[in-house]
Amino acid sequence: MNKEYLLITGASSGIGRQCAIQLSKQYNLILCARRYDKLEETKSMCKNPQNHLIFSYDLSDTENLETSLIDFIKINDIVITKFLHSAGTIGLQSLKLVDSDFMLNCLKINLVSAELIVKVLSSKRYNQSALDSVVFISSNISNMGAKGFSTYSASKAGLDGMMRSLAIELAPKVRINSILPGGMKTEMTKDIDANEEVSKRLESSFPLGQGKPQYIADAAEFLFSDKASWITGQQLTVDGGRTINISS
Amino acid sequence: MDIKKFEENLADILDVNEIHDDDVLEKFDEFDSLAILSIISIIGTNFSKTVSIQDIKNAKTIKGLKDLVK
Repeated sequence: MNKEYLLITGASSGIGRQCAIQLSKQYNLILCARRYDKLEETKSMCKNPQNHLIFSYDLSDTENLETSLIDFIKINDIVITKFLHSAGTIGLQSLKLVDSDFMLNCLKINLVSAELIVKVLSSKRYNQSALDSVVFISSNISNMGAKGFSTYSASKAGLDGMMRSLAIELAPKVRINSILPGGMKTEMTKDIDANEEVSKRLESSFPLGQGKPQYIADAAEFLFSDKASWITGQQLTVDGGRTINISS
Repeated sequence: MDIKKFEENLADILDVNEIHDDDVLEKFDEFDSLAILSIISIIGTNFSKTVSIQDIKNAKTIKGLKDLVK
């Protein structure tokens, strides 16, 4: 068997970077994102940096994704057993300004790329059917609603719908689950956080206080572990109690 | 869709590098109910032909599937 790896998309910042740092204690990683320099930074923060590989790729280019990933696996002579899809673009936009290019870009990065990657990794031809566990970083908006989030929430609800169907289609070989984080301060949300009023309102809505990427990485670690071996097709909400908070 | 593209699609569905006319469908690990539905969908969409699950099973080999779209 070739050397085994865990692929993380969106590994250049935020939740993806934090997951890489924590998961590097147990797994050999493939760090994927657009910017090579940022991935080098992440790699240097990981345990045993020499064990990890960099796959610099823009996931909005869904046309060439499958062949690029197949080539990457072939050139490095490896197999990928686990996949964490943390890549995402927030796509906050009033309905009045939404157009098809805006929607398609968000859907390609958040949703389409995830399915194409699972397709390659579950293949016998390209990855020796080595895939055994997948975690999608969804969002608690997947089951909720908010102004300006129509495209983003569609992408995350789509991701979770896809997760459930793939969990059935690929069982018992592969377990697939989603983590639904609540809003937390990351590179992706910096524009929203910059608005003091919005930021304060958000902060007061978390019964357990504001979240950190580390909490999401802990949940991912659990879902990839044998301790989650009978869990598949599930949404695990990790949002400090925000979405169950109905107090005014 | 030409027959070459149809063969490529069959190889994708069956998750193998290449297929041959005399390959027996039941011998492929990936030839299951989902594979049958996928083949029916490809034939319907690209060749405007309606075939049943039984038609696919009766085809027995790759050549049998190719005969269905002629």
